[in-house]
Amino acid sequence: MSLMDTLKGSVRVELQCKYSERAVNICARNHVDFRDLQRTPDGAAQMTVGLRGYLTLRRVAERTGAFTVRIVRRRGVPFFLWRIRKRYALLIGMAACVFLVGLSSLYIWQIDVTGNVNVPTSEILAALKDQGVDIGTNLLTVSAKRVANDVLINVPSLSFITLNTHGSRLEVIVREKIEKPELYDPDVPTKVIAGKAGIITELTVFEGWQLKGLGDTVVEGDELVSSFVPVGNGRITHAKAEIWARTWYELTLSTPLEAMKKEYTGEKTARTALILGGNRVNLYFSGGNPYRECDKISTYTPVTLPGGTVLPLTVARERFEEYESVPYTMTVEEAERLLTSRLLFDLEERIGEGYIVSSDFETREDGGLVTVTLRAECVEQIGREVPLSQEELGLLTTPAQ
Amino acid sequence: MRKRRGEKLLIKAAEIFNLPGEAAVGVPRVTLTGQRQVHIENHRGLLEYGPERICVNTAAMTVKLRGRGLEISAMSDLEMVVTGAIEAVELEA
Repeated sequence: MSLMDTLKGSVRVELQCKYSERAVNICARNHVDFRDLQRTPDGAAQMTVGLRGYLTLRRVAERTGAFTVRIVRRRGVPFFLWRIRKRYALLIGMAACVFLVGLSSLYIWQIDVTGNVNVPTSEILAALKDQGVDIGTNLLTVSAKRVANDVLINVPSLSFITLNTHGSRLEVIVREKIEKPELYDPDVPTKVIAGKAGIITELTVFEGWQLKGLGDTVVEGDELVSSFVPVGNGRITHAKAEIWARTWYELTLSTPLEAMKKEYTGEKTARTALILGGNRVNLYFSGGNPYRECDKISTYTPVTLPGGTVLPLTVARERFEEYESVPYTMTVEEAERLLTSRLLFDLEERIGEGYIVSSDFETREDGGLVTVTLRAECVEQIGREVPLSQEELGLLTTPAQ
Repeated sequence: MRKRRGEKLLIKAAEIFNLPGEAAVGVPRVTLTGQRQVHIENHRGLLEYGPERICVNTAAMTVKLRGRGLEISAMSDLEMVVTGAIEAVELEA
């Protein structure tokens, strides 16, 4: 049964006569549109007609006398309203409900922001709030064009924003500005220094004057390529180089063997609350956590009508699962595995552009504390471009006395 | 008999002038969609119906549908839709 059938009402009727084909043809000829025609075992025809079709059918049956009409089933809103026509309280309640739903559709009850990657949704929502657009705002007072323009001014990382309303849902579609890539500017004088200590294994100078050679040992901050090129009268350049070096790391991590772990007792409970607009109505009496130690999982489900209209009602459900913290003793191997993986992760984070040549782990246990030390040799790019300070620039540009 | 002759003449005229027959003289149009649905336009009423056989009267012929679970899912004075597992569509002049 379709939505339109429900709204307009439909009647399943049985036409009784000697030849039901004749009755069917009379219906068709008198513009009674019907569907789901079936022949009953006793030869009568059953069909579904609309409310208007049913009234026509009754008139035709009376006029022609060719068949009799028996109602098998009535469905739909008109029949329901007719049935409850004397239940005034129910009618008033239904009218009030329809009115409230209609009224609530004039307000924003949900804001969905899409298209943002780096700009947090909370920042966009805050900018919208500054312009008076928030949950509970009357849609009639919102000028989408003005709000979009003002938000674009207040959130400079956005390049585009549009506000679309779908019932009570406000859809905010944004596009972020694409940051300009850092361009190589030959006019900015820079030098290349060592970002880390190591022994240089590979050196490619694109611009500038090379100060260190292959096999040289450098410490962090050493100048590797100067911006001053002493050729002819000398010139100041934007030094640029790729410098690979062998580097060494020694990282240490410790963990106690005694730890606590969760053990679920199997006790669970759930609570429900309604959030009407911005007000929470708890459907339970006792607040706080029901268990001393427990996991709490909250889910919020906005109530929507068929078709996607969001109502100003959200069902908040909280699920509690009790657990006990029990002491747990790790084996040395487990602790070693845990620390080894963390140390390797930490090392890879530190290397950046480079790779591990060799690594060695050393594990010690002392008084319930496991300590793992990682010693690794790596090869990595240690050259860092640094702009010259005013002081350095002054020294380079001042002619030698 | 005179009416039949008139219809035949009209059909002939529609053929000569390259006109769509169903629009010009009420020639039935039977559209079969897969094996599950038959749409009949310009019918002149039901002659017989049941879950295995439905006969429809039209201006020039009788359209007989054979199948299983046949049902008239919609009908008006000009067209009807029959659904079910259709096994054969026969035209009887």
